[in-house]
Amino acid sequence: MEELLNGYFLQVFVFICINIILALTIYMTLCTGLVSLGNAGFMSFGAYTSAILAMKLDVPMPLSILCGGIVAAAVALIIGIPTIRLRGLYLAIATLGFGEVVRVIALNMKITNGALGLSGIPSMASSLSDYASDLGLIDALGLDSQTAGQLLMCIALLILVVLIFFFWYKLEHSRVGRAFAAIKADEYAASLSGINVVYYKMMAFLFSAFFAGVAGALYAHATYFISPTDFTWHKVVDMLLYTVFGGSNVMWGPLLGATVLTIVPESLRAMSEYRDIIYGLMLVALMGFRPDGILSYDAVKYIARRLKKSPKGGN
Amino acid sequence: MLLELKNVVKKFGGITALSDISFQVEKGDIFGIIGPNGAGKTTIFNMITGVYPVTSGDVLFNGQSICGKKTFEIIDGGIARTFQNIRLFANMTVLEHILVGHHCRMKTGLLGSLLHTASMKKEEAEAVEEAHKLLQYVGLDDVADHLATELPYGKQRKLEIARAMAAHPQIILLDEPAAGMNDSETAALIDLIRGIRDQFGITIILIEHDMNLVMTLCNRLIVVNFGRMLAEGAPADVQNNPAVIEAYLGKEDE
Repeated sequence: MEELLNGYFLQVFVFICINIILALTIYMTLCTGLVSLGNAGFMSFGAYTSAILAMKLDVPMPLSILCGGIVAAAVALIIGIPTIRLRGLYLAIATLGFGEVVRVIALNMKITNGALGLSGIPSMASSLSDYASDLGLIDALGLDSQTAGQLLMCIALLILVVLIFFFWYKLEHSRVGRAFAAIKADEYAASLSGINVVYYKMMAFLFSAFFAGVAGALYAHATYFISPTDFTWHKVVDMLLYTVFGGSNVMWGPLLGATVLTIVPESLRAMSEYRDIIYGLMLVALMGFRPDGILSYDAVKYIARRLKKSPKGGN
Repeated sequence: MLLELKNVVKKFGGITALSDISFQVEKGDIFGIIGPNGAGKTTIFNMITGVYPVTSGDVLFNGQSICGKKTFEIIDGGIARTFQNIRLFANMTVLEHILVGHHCRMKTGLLGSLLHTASMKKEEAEAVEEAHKLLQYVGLDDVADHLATELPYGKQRKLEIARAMAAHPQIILLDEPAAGMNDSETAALIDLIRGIRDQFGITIILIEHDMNLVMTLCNRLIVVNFGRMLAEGAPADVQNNPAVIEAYLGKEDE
């Protein structure tokens, strides 16, 4: 237990949670067949908004994180109105371009401190541990305040991941989710079955941007330092990989993808220079053998059936 | 008058796909649109359902112009359709197709969908129940849980019709419903289409190459060739119209 609670593991866990949220944002747009690659841009809007609000205006952290998401969604609305009608690769290129524009703007603005980035962003871990020690929780657990803060952050992020997951899960299993699925399967037939395609695409796009903004804000408060290089298109490629690797047709896919692809590079750290090669080979192999990602509809159905059967079999 | 096309013209760039199409469909009609391939029949459907804007002319539904309306608004208003090349949703079950078709008649908004409120659950349950009834009517209820893409061709066609019916339309546009069907399937389809009109009170407009089906079912029809109307009237009159015979069979050398 003591070993598991070291700072490194907790830090990796924090990144797993943030990456799961990011992977889910890609999944949300993919739900309506949109390939949107602007999420690094939305992430940086969320990160900078929350960081600046917390640093300069002393806005409480939960509120500043929420504002980060809202600002990202507001930007998405402005970007979405002209671009949401673009299909497939055209939207991908347009949103990718948007992400780069945001990065260059952040690089040149005074309030974002340009290429130097923002440092000394209020830490989520320490604010949580302050809060907990006020309640007398830390003494009760017998942990030092730094570990306790990190542990609390992990728990908070885990709760958030679960909430976001269920948020989208509920939405998918409703009239709205059916509309998403119909649009993804055949946009033309969906629109001629009475579905307002643009409205639902925009909805998915805005939710995706909102949660990308939230993830960016969390990232800022988890690392205390952000600079434009944190939000390059590499970041989007990572997010896309999590989702595609895990399986982009089912919600468990991004969850699995983000977890595995965050842990693998960390566990390969010992192999330093071979790390990227192994990582790359893994991805190539996966695309060769399971082009739909590890988890597909059929895989999830199969597992669900096994899980349903096993309690009876155990008796 | 349920539906009226007034001098509808459609140009794609310099090409005139439809010129001066006018006809009227009464409530309770089974109205046929026939003509050789490429005559512009599906384009007429696309004009009615708002897929493309008309270049000039007007489409009136219940006396009101529906030109310029979005496709989903037109379906919401009461005109549903099927497709010449079957367009079903991959990875969706038969039942889900009906629920998608029923989408525009359901009211649960974003909040209800997120919270799975009592009214949302009630609406879903009602929709599922109605969907089963509809599937029973068209004879697909036994495969309600199957993926639509796994169904044989004839059943896929039926499912498309059922999906359109789920929107509670006043008119259904059927684009070649009998294409690829054998004689017995076509006979069953004729009964189905008649039933949809008689039992659900839905007016039918259909495009079809199967002359047997057209002549048995339709009470009125138009013939289109090269984007123009060649003839209009009862099946028997149209059949004997020299211009129609010429379009289909060519002109006899004098």
